[in-house]
Amino acid sequence: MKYIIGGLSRAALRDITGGQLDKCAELNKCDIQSCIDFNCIIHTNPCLAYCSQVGCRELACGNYSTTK
Amino acid sequence: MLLWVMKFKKSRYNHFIDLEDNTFLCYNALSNSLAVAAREDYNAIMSVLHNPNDDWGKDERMAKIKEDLFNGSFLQEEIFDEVAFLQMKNKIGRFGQSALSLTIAPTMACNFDCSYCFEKQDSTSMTDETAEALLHFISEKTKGLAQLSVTWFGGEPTLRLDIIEKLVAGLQKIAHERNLLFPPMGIITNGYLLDKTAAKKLKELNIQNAQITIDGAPKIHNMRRPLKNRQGTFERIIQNIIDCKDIIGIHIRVNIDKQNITHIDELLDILQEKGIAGKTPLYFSNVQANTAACADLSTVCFTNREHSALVVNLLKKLLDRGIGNITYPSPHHFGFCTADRYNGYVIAPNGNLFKCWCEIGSDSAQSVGSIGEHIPDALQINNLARYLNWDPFQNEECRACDILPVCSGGCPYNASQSASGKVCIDFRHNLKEMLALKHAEIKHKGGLL
Repeated sequence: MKYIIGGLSRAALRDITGGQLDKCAELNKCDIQSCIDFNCIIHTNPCLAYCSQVGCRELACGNYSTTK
Repeated sequence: MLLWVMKFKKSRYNHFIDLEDNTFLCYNALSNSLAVAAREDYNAIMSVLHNPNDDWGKDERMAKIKEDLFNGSFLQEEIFDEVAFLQMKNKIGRFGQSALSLTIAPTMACNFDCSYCFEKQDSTSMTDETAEALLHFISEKTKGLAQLSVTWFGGEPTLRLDIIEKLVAGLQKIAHERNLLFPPMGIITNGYLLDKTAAKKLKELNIQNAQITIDGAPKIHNMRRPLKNRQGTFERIIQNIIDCKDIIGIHIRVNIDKQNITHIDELLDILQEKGIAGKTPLYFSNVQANTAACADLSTVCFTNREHSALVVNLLKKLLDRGIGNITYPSPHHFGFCTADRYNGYVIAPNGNLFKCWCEIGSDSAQSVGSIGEHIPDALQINNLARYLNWDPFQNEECRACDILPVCSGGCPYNASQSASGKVCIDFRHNLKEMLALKHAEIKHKGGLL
């Protein structure tokens, strides 16, 4: 098995405060910071598709990549 | 080792997709992880999943498979209740007090006359008094919160950049005073007025992403999205995208229905020829006849299932052209959108508060309150209760669904209009095809080395 999209790590998945994701923002791992918080609205409303078109995927820490 | 003393079970959110190249995909909707495995490993992986508590530790290959499955959440501890966990996160996200998420319309005026517009004609813009009241409202609502997120909407928001500028100054002041994380904002625009000067202004204001809609090649786009005086808009929008794409992030949305579906190839030709395709993300959305203003469109709209299949075909074409940008599921553990969240509002220029973008252009009968001191009336309370009491975990089909973590019950507005109380997202119908396309895209980009 080879992971090609890491998805949420166990720590990020079980972090119910969103703190793990805030940490990514602080580290500037993502340039679309509204995506980092799962409270994100721009990329989910009204169109779910918008979110994944931003290109912020595929980062092992939980979906969000440095590139877009 | 902990792995060998814990008791396991397989996750209810596992998906496996056969590929043509003697491999298969393993996807878990809870962690949202995607792995590729050799066909010869299929039986071994299934053996571990079906009998996770057998003594696999003696066999190095099987032990590694077990560890891999655990890391991607394909295997869970036996006592871990995945649905209860999701239900808890859903409540925390929707009713927790960490962020205020706002969509603000500085004006309902628009320079376009789109054939499928879901908003009624209205040219109200936000007055200085309302802008002041809005900032006061936001200042009060963000007491004790950690984050403020804002998206600009309309009407056509670029018609009133002056109002946006004034509001952003106030928002930045509030964010500073309250020590709020205030991430870059986005704007939904038709793109006609988004020239270089406007793009630079938006960037200055920390509005770093714009969504622009193009509905096909020039002829069909201009029929569907003309100026109020019926003049075409295609050429100018394309030029604006070319001029602005290196200043702010631009995402192209293509609304599809039965009237323009045959014109998409031509659009892709043009986007490639102009050097836009591949550099500017593009996605397809379904025209929906979901408000009174566009109810007569129902005969030209695709059903969700039809749309899901069409999107797969369109994305295959993008991939064939080397454009990519295949949609990947997004975790929705903390609710779906502004509408089902306590601390989320769509704000009309007159200060009325709504829960959904679909409703801002209707009338105040859909509102849930207003930014002033006004006490919500019974109708507004009912509207708010309809969204906040909506709960996918009360719907047996949603509760049992194997993609619930990336759906969270789907669009609450559509759910409220549906007899079944839910409208499934595209991934319900096309998950396997979409994951296969994502894999092909990653492979194409060299991500499978």
